[in-house]
Amino acid sequence: MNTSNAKMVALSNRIYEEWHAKTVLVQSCDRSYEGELNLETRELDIKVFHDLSIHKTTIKERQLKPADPELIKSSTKRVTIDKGRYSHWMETNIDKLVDDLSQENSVTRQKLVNKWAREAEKELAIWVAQLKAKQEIDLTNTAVLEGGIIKPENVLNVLDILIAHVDDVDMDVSDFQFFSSSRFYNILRDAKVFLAHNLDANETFKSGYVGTVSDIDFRQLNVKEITTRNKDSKQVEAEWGIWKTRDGIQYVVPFRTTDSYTIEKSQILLGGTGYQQVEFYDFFNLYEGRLMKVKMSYVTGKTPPTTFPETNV
Amino acid sequence: MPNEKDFFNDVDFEDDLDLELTEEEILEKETKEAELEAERKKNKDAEEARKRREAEEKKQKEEAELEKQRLEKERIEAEKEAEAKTQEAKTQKDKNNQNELGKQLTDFKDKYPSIDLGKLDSDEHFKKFIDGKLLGKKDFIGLYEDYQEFKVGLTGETKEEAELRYKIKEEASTGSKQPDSQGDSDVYSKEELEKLSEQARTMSPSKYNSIKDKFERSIQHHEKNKKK
Repeated sequence: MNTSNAKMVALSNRIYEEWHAKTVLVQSCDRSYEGELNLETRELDIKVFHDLSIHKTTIKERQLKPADPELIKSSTKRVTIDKGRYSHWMETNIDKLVDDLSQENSVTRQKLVNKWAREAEKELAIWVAQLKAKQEIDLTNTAVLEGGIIKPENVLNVLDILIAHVDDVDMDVSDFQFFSSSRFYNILRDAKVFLAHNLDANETFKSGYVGTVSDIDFRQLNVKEITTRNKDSKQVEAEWGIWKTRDGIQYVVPFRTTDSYTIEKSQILLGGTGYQQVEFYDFFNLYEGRLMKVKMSYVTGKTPPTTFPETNV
Repeated sequence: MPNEKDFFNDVDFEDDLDLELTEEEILEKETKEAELEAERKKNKDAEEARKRREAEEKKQKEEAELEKQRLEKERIEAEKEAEAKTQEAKTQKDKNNQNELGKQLTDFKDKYPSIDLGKLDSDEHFKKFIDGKLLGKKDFIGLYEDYQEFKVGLTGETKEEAELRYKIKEEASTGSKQPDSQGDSDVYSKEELEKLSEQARTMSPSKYNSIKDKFERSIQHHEKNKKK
């Protein structure tokens, strides 16, 4: 039996899992979906979870008729997958390269994985930074944060503001995670908010984890495109932080494949085989209250970027 | 003339007589002493000889005891070694048997991919039929086919009907062609693998992870068989 097809499929899934594990923001998203991608219509069903209602009643009456039961999974939302990415390469010796990619210590696969992880992370972070104003917490606004500049003296107010926004939508802070560059965490450390006991032993080695304070899970995100930096020292002077739950973003990759094809001798000397690693993917924000961008500044007069390099978004 | 007695008045006869033992008496005395000395020496020698004998006997006894212990130890070690060799030979034989049986089962799965080995194993009649026959003259496929023929001849049902009770659940009941990721078989058949290869492209990550180990194992299995 020719196992090349199966090997390619196993390879493409392996590449997906590996690049996914190297991300911080993408990995924090919900990636579940129902069924399979319809390749003709590119439609996919994503589960939408609604809150259960709490009904008031009285026990004075002898016969109590309860309200109708609610399904926890009450609906799915049909979305259209609109994005794709691919790498395209060729090799004159097919078996050698395929085996190389499948090896544990394959340098080629590692480079591919690292590249895809960086690109996916960058694209998603930029998309969040471009959310509408309704989903923005503006800490540069002096009406929101006194002085509009984050420093050790007022960093605890920042935490209070983040928590207040969660309380306002009747949600639980422990469901949320905060993503920003190391600049914010250095301020937390300078203010001695971060101490050894803030580290959760279960989380310490997980992707991007920095610490937990007041039930807020902090993760470090290194995407320079959503930061404003000093042109000389390259230090972050302002940035977009991200404040979200797991299902604040649905990031789905419903199609993954590695395909090969023959390259004729007329096209290249001695001929060869071409490869394409292809993924169809997309991301959505189905629950507005569960995803917010946070406008942050550390230096007077500096604000995070409002224009970004082109991506698939 | 003086009295003869007077000549000897100042003579102490007893003392002087001792000093003047006759040669005969001296000789007798010396002889007696020599005899006594010889007797003493003889006794002493006898005592020493006895002690030597006893010491010799004790030494021999100890040596004999040590030798006995050494021989016993060697005997025990030899027994252990023999037992270990026997066990090793048995283990190797079992391993060879397992390898052979594993190969037979793999060949069976290739020929009958839709038959669930777990269900076959649950059939008490089949187990009785093959009891004592495994790894004998006929391989597992031969034994299964013989059993099916036997059942068909006995019950009158067709071969397909006889096989139906061992079919993999999803194929038998739902008509769905998707292989069972929780199935008892170790690997997917060729047909199942090809089908899954198409489905895996659009499978959700959680679904793929549930079949991933068996999927990759199946690839290796069919690759190995391709090389044979």
